[in-house]
Amino acid sequence: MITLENLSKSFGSTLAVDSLSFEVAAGKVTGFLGPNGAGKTTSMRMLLGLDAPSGGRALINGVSYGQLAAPLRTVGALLEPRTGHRGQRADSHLCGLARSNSIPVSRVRAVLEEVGLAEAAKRRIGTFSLGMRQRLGIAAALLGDPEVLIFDEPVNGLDADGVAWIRGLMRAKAASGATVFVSSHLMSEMQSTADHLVVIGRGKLLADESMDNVLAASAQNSVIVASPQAGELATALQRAGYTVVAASEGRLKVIGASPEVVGGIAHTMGVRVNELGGRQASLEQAYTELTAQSLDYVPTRIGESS
Amino acid sequence: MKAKSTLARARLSQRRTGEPAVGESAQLPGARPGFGAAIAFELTKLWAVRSTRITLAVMVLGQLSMAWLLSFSAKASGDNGYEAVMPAPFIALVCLNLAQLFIATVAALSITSEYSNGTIISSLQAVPVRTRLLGAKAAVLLMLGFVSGVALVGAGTLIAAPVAAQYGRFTIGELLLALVGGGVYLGLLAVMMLGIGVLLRSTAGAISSAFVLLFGLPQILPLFALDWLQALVSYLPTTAGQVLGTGALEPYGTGTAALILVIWAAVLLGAGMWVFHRRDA
Repeated sequence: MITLENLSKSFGSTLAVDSLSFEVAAGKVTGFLGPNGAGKTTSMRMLLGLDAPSGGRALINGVSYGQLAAPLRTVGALLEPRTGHRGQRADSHLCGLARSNSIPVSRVRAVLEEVGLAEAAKRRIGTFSLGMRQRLGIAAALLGDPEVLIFDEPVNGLDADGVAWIRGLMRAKAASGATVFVSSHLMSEMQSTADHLVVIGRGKLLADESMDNVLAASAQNSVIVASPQAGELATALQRAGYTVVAASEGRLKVIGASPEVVGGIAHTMGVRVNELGGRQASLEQAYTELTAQSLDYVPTRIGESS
Repeated sequence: MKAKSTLARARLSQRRTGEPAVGESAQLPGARPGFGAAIAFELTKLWAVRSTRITLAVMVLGQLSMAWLLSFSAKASGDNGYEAVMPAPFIALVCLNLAQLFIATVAALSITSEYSNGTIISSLQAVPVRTRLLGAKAAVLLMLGFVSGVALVGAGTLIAAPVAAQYGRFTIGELLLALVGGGVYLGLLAVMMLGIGVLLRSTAGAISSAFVLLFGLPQILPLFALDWLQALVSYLPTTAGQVLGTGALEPYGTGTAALILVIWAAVLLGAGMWVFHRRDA
């Protein structure tokens, strides 16, 4: 389990991470979303003890990373694809890491096979493609069979097969009880991988919700309703607090409503309805709304408003 | 069987959340890693990199050639009636003037290359306690420098003794002094360079600093008309190293020489440690 308590980081006068507090639970894939520069990598670096927080704490299983007795056996992290000395062989890079944490060296072979680099074990890291380096980074993360996985943009540089593979890996690890915390800017990737989402913008928490709640709360969830008495219906819906847009002649688009609500209002008014249908937002849309709001520094707790 | 291990893992994480002070995973066998594991890690990294092995090989070649040249020159000068008597181990010790650059380079690269290729991130993930990570590096470099110094003086003597012949005669005492002095000097020099490397985080910067410290200052300081600036030359690492290895009584004894080298190493490593501890990786 990962816990952030009022975690902050300032670089000079810029507040990169602003009092972030959330928990990442075990047994799930938690997506960490935010635009570039939102503070995702900085938060992860503080979690791994690479950067010192300006305020607050970042804990793994209740302790800071530096207090873990054998960190690689508790936490596997992929932060930089650019890791390992260019002149060093892939297997020897992993051997060094294994020795540093008293991990049996036999694990090196096992993880190289798991990530599909067994053939390249004796090659120098400098000869690797970006995708191979990414796989090597993942092999290093898996080396200590850790119960917490922290991946920063893991699909960078991977081909379609690689993307599907890492998605499967994260799902499998979470299913076997691991805590999986993964950052990404690829929303579509998160939609098919994550169970839970933490969204930040400009260093502030925007949402900490299950994937279902994030999607349900999007303002882009709308209802299309067609009625011969569209005008009356629109007035009633507006009185109920919904934004109504004329979609075409006799058709209305009701933002943020569900078909049940619109149907119910029409029914009590005795208004005839010719068409009624809901449109669910994609994660992409939900995310765009959230981060657009972050521009004027208004954190929104999604799910509470609906 | 898979389900069983899943269950065990779930139980394990339950127990751990109950005892938040314990952060160690029990999924893999293995002792709690300590300083020894950190040293094994540093040794693996240092030796696995091809540039280390190449640099050290060139260093040995340089030492042997220089020892041959100096002792050949001593023999020729002696035969021509010039005063050219110098114990062979001391000839080998003078040759460390060249070899020290290679040790300094390996030592500086052991940290600056980690910054330039991003390995520092995975190193700190593996050994997050920074004093332990840097301490292990210092221990490994101290050993590497010491072993190199002993080996280079020994090998240099093996070449110089027969080539310089009667002009290079030496006692066992002189040989032992040169062996130990050369080892201690290169060992502590490697630690100094590690300190400079952490402070500067740049390979070019660290190696230029080595040139200034080892060659520049001993040449430049005497040019100033200030007595204290000239006196400073005696306290530079190169001077102390030569005194330590030859047992010269000028300008101070071997004990003082050793102390001067230890202070240089302690101050530079200490400064590096302090900065490394405070700075974001």
